[in-house]
Amino acid sequence: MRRHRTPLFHFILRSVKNAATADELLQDAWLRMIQGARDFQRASRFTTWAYTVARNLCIDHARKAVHRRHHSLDQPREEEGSTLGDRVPANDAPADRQAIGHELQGSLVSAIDALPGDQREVFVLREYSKLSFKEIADVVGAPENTVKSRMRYALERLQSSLAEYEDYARTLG
Amino acid sequence: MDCETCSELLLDLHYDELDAARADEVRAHLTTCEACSAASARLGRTRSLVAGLALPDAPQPSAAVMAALSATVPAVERVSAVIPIARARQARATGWLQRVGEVAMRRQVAMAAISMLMFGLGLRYLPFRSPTQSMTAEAPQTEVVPATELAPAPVSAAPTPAPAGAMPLAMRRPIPPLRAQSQATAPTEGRAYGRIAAGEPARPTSVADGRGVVAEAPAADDLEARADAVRGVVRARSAAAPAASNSPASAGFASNTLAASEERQLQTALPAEPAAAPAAIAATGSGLGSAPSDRGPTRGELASEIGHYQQQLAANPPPAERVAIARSLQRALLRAGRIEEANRVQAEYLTRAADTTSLAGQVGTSPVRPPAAAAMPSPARPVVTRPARRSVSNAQSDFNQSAY
Repeated sequence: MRRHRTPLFHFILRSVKNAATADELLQDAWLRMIQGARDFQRASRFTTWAYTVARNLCIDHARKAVHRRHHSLDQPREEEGSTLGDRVPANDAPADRQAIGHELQGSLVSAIDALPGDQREVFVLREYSKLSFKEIADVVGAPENTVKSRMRYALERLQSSLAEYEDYARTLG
Repeated sequence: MDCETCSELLLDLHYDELDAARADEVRAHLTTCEACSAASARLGRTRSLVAGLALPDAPQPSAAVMAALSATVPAVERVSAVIPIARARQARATGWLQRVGEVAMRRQVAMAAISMLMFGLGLRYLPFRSPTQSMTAEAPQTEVVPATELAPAPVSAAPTPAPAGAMPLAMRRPIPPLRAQSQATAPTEGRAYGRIAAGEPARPTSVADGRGVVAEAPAADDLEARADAVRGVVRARSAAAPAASNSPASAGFASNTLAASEERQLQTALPAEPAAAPAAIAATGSGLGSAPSDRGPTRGELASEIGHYQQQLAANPPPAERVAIARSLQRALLRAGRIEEANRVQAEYLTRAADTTSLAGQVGTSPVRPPAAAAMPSPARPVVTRPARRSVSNAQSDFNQSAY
């Protein structure tokens, strides 16, 4: 539980884009995993099974959210204290290069959240959860080549979204 | 490697999902292809950027989760405990098999198994039975053969019909034709028990009661075994002849009644039998046999014996001795299965001798024995080659008659 807690939470957070909801879904995921421990097939890897449970919870949540009242883009979210519009990356270039690291974090989050859902989940699972393409294919239920294609598209989008950090990336590289 | 393949494998290369050889190929292409190298560099920079994302701290499991976990742990432990139980069962099963295997691999067990196998094979293939068993348990298959009645008639003896009423009823019981075969020993050897196995002689015992042979019959399906058994009967009768010839009551009974009854009885016994052993044919037809109570000479011994007699005949011995030698030679040839040569000896020496001793009227000179002559066997009776079924039946009936 301790080992998978952070990447699992990040995966849920990047899916629902809300920390409180992600927290709630993570707790639900834990409960699901505890209750389904008997049904767990040891032939599969626990990591794959855990991410499958979390993904199903996220999908269920997204389906329910469709029927809810949509939040106003200007209405502050109670949990985060910021509007969704604040979290959308701005097109303006960061003025202070010293704060580029902090800005990059926000830009990265924004760029990742802006990815299509299928590409985003593949990218998060591969880049941050360190699942292999084959394991990702098992989680999302898609062929491995499809997963790689989604990954390729996700990287291309991120590359274009983070083009302003090219120089910074060169300094990192 | 072309650029298309390289672009497909570039992702795997950056995420270390290529094997070493394939990765080297991609890297080698990147050193030569500027476009692919630039794409790889862009991908590397993007990855450097996204890798800098700090993952948020995950919340601790809630109290509900911990409660569920603590409530579920015993069950989980029980589930996990099933595995050791199953493993223990498997281990027990394996241990049981191992114990059985260890027991089965012991030397004593192996010896017992071999002994039982040998005993079973012996029961299957060895026809020996105990006298008590032969006399009691398998009464229908046994027959008491008065040895004194086994003797063939002497040459000069007139054919006399046997008085059936003179025999006990118990001894007149018919014998299953295919089962009852025996060898008889000479009365001087007392009582013996017949052995049916091919070439197996009778075993004489020390009980000299003057009676004949208890013939016990194993399942001798094999035609050769039957022929051997018939041969053994003929041998026994031939051996019993000198001693039995001293008994006037039985002299001539067996030999005189053989030919007629043996055919009747054994033709029904062997309905569709292929060609029988020539030795049995000849022995039955001629009434000749070898010495009793031996396994019979080997081929080499027979050949040497035949050669010896032939040499003696070539030395042009006196007529009386020549007849005796020819008869011996004929017997040897018959035992060796050389029927044609035996017929030649018959025609050349014995028939001629019979003619000269005014026995030609009793013995046919034709190779085919006439039916009338069958009832009057004589030492000069020609050797005939008849169909197997008829010959074996003759031998069988020969035994049956001798049993009476």
